[in-house]
Amino acid sequence: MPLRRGPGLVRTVGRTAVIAGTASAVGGRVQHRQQEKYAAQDQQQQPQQVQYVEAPPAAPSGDDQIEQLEKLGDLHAKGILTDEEFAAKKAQILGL
Amino acid sequence: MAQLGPVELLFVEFPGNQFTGEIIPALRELIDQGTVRILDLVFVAKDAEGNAVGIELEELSSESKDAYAELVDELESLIAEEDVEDLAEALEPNSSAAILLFEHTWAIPFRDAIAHSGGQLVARLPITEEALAEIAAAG
Repeated sequence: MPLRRGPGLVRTVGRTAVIAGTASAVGGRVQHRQQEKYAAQDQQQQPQQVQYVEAPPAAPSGDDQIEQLEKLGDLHAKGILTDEEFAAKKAQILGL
Repeated sequence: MAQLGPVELLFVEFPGNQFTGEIIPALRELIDQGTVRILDLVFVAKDAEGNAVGIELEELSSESKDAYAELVDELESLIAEEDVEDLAEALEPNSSAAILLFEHTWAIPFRDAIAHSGGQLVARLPITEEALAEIAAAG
C-alpha cells in the first residue's frame, strides 16, 4: 500500500504558486475552505507579529513612579522646582 | 520521474457513500485514446457526522476495485494523507469522493511545440463555470 506520508499536493501547489506569482489552481469549495482555515490561523498568529510602528515613550511603571515622585517632591520642597514645573513633571510621570 | 505532460488533481464528489462506476467507461475512453493517464487515485468517504476517511484502491469492494484498477498502471503515490485531509474538509457529509491525479498526455505535443519555439508557459488558470456565468451576466 502506498505510504502517502510526504508533503501534500494541495498545500505545495498553494505555496509554490505564491512564490512563482501564478494564480492558485485550487478553486471552488476547496479553495474557500482552505482560505477560511488559513485566515483563522492568521488571526491566531497576530499577537506574534512584530510592531513596526514607533510607540510613544511609555510612562514609568509602579515602583519607578513612586521613586520618581518622591524625588520630584523633594526637589519641589527644596524650591528647586516651581509649582508649575512640579505639576507638569508629576503629570508626565503618571502618564497623564 | 520522466518528464510528464501537465499534471492535474481532480476531486470528484458523489452523493452517498458509493463509488459509482459510471465514470469509469468515460475515463477508460480517455485513457485508451491517449488523452490522459491516471497517475494516482485515492477515494474519500465522509459519514453523516462529518468523519472522513481515505480509502485506497486496494481497499474497495472487489467489483469497484477491479473496475478502477483497469484505469491505472501503477499508482505513483503522489496524493498524500495531507491532501486527503485537506480535500475532505470540502466534502459534504454522507458523501464520497475520488481524488484523481491526471497526466494530460494530450498536451505534450503542444508543450513541446511551445518549448521548441522558444516560448514559455507562464500561467495556467482553470476558468470556472461560476466565473463565466458572472461575466456573462455582467456583459
